[in-house]
Formats: sequence, C-alpha cells, structure tokens
Amino acid sequence: MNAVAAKGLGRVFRQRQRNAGVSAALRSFINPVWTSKVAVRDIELVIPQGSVVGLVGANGAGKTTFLKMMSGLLHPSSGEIQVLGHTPHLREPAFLRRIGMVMGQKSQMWVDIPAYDTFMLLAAIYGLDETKARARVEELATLFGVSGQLGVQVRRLSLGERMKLEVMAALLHEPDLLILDEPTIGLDVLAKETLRRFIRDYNKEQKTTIILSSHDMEDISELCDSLLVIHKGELVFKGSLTDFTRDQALKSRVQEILAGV
Amino acid sequence: MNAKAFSRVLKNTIIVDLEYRFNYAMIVLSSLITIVMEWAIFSHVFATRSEVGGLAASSAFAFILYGMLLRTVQSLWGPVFTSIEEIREGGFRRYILQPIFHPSYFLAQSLGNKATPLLGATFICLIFKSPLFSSPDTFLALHELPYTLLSFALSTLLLWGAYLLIVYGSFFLDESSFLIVSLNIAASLMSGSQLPLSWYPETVQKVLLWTPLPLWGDWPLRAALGMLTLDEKINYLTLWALWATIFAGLIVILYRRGLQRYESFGG
Repeated sequence: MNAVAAKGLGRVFRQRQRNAGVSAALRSFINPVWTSKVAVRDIELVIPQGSVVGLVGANGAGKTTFLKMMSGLLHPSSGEIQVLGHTPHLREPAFLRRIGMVMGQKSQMWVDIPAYDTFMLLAAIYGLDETKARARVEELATLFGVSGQLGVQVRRLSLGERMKLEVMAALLHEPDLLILDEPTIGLDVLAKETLRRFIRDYNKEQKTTIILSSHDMEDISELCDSLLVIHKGELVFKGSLTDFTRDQALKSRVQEILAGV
Repeated sequence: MNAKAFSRVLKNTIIVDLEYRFNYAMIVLSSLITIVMEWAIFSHVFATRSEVGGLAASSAFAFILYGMLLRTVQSLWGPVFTSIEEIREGGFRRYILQPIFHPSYFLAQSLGNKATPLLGATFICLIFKSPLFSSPDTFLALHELPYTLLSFALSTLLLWGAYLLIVYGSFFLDESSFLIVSLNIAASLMSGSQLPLSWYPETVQKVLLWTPLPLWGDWPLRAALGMLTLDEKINYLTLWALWATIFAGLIVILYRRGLQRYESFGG
C-alpha cells in the first residue's frame, strides 16, 4: 500500500516585488507589483508504506513546499496528493492523528515551560491515555538521553536537546508517517549520530514511513532506502539509493545542485 | 478540541504566567495607578454635584473598581500578539498539524492568560470594597450577582471574539497588530468602561448603539451597579446574541479562508 501518491502536484506563490528604498516603498504602496513564483511543478510520485525516503535539493528548490503540501500545511495550486488515503489540506482529524512532522526551523514545543508539560498537552490533544503517554515519554526520553531535561524550560536547552524533544513530540502519538524537514540542521556530530540511530531503529521496529529532507548527504546515505532529488521545483530523480549511488554522473550533478552550481 | 486538551492548554498558559513573577507586580501597580487617576477625575466631576448622567457620586467608586476589574479580564495582549506573530512568521503551523480547532485553543489560552491577573484585580477590589474605603451599600446587591457575572462573562467572550477576528485578519493583511491597539482604545474609551456612556453626547450614544461597544463596558458595569431594568437586561442579552452570532460566523469564515491562503513562511 502507498503512503503518499502525488499526481501533477504544483504550488505557485504570489510575491510582492519592489526595489529597495523609501521611494520604491512609496511606489509599491500606491501601485504594488505582484509576481508569481513556481515553487513546485508537476510532481508525480508514489511512496510505499514503511519506506524511508530522502528528499534533497538546494535552498529554495521546493523541498519544504512539497513537504508542507504533504502534511496539509499548504493547499496545492494544481494537481492532487493523497497521503495515507487522505487529502492532506482537508485536515481531517483521522489524518492528523496519523502524521507527525518535525521542522528543523520551527518548534512545536511551548518554549517557556518544561517539555513534559507540552508532551502532556499533546497527549490530551491526540486523545492518548495519560498513563501510557507518561510511559511513552519516559521511554523516548531514555532512548534520546534527555530524561534529565524534561523538567527544564525548553528555551534554556541546547539546540540538540531541543531537536530531540521535537522528534519526541512528533512521535508521541505513534504516527504512521513521519515527516522530518532538516532535522539535523545545526546539530553537532554526536547529536546527529544519536538522531540518525534513533530514526533507523524506529523505522525498523515500527515500520513507520519516514520522509526526510536534508542538505546533509550523510543523513540520506545512512538512513534512506530511496531518494527524491528536487531542483527548481521539479523532481529530477526518484529511485533507490543504490541506483543513485551507482550513477556517478547523477551523483556529481546532485552534488553540484546542492552546492548551488 | 476535547475538554481534556482544553484544560491542558489552560493549565499550561497559567504555568507560563507563573514563570514570570515580575509581571504580577506590574499588573497590580498599573491597576492601582488607573484607580488613582480615575478617582482624581471622578472627584473633580462630582465636586459640585451628587449625580452626573445617572451615576450617583456614591456609586462612582464602585464604577471605578468594577471598570478596572472588567478591563483587567477583557484586555488581551499575550495570546493575541503571539498568534499574529505565529501567522506572520510560520509558527501557526503547529495548530494546523495537530487535530485541534484553533478558536478553542485561543479561548483556552485567553482564559489561562487572564486567570492570575483576575485574582490580583479581585484582591484589589476586595481591599477597596472594605468599609475603610467606602460605604458597602454602593456595591453590588447579592440578587444582582448572577446576571452581573453572566454579563461580565458574555461581554468578555464577545471582546475576545473581536480580538480573534483581528488575529485571523493577519492571514489577509500580513500585519494586523495596529488594529489591536485601535480595538483596545475603542473598548476602553468608547464602551463605557472608563467613563459612563451616559456622560457622552447624545449623538455619540446613538451611534454607539449600532456597534458592539456598549456590550463591552456599559452593559456589565450598569448591571453591576444595579442600574438596568428588566427590559434593558433582556435587550442587552438579545443584542449580545446577535453580535455573538455575527462574530462567530465571521471567525469561522476568516479562519477557514485564512488557512487556505496560509503560506507557512520560514522554512
């Protein structure tokens, strides 16, 4: 069964354009100029359940836009997408209960209170049994080595500790699909390795479908069994990691893309 | 959003507030300053007269205290500005990814946000309400209490609805914080919570009747002072139901359309 199926998926953003300076701002105030930016164009793909898929591309390539459409954060401008048999942007509770998302740049934790309080709130939102939720928090915290940080205000924690808590928050309700958008961004080598090990083991044990976007090819090569390469909004490669590794020309091209060449 | 999640949001908001103890000192201080300033104005007004625009001098102090209490409960800054910022900067996505209905979440946050300042304001009221400061008979009669509490609660809900409309306006305007300031000024000066509406020119009073403003100040405060007839009580409730229906409809429309437009900026 497929976890994700997209057909002709596209997203266009409307942007206001103007030059720098006060006079340009004044002109734009009176007569704003709007342009369209195609962030994602005509994506066709199928992702089987239980797989770990890597998504790579340079900054602004459309990775995050694609992931946002997959999670229901964004409405597509064209085409359609089905995730776990649901149309994501309809935000059906049954769908939202089956997905988890971590965005490296944005937190879903309440930063002014200890993480434990946020976890208990999430448990209530997802309708989890409180005793089981507490046990799951403790289990995940032990796996990530953050048991001692559960009672500390989140904003006082290091980036690595926060990221582990973000992943824990996304996994608390045991989703069938986990979307990770640059989860290792800004982490040190040790923290990256802990996170990778966890994701690998978690996928093996739970058979959760994981979609991981990253700039770090090490994340991809260590975790993923298939790969999607996105460039200027278009999918330029979809296939197994083995195929990708064998194709030297493609590999060099992707490295150029990631380097922004 | 289920009741358990609602109460968790409420609890978490109170926990956040308790993390910042200094805020309470500021709330108590600003409330006291407001009382002193209003008292100075009212003393001047009542210096030569025993009644102005239907308000007796003996009730003036009660009006000031209830007005302060009402504004403390009603005014929202934290949840409103946080929500606007979240819409602008992409943080709003956490509400979209979770199986929740944001208006309920916002209500729980607002209640939590107001729980502790309300205790402070009630405490100040109790101190000033003591016979040491004024005659107890100028204050709320017990039989007026249920309707007064109802009017305070409904009036506050309606104003929070207006705040939420402005929050969702950010989906369309990009920036709507300036509207919050305008709403706060209007709710404070034109609703009758700072000065009785009966002191305003008749034309202004007539215009205000076409707006929800009197529901945010004049209604609950006149209820608290026992100045409403039965007909007026019913009329106000009807008017509230009308505006509440309009606000609820607009909130749902703006929220749904806003989510369709939401671009979830910021990576």
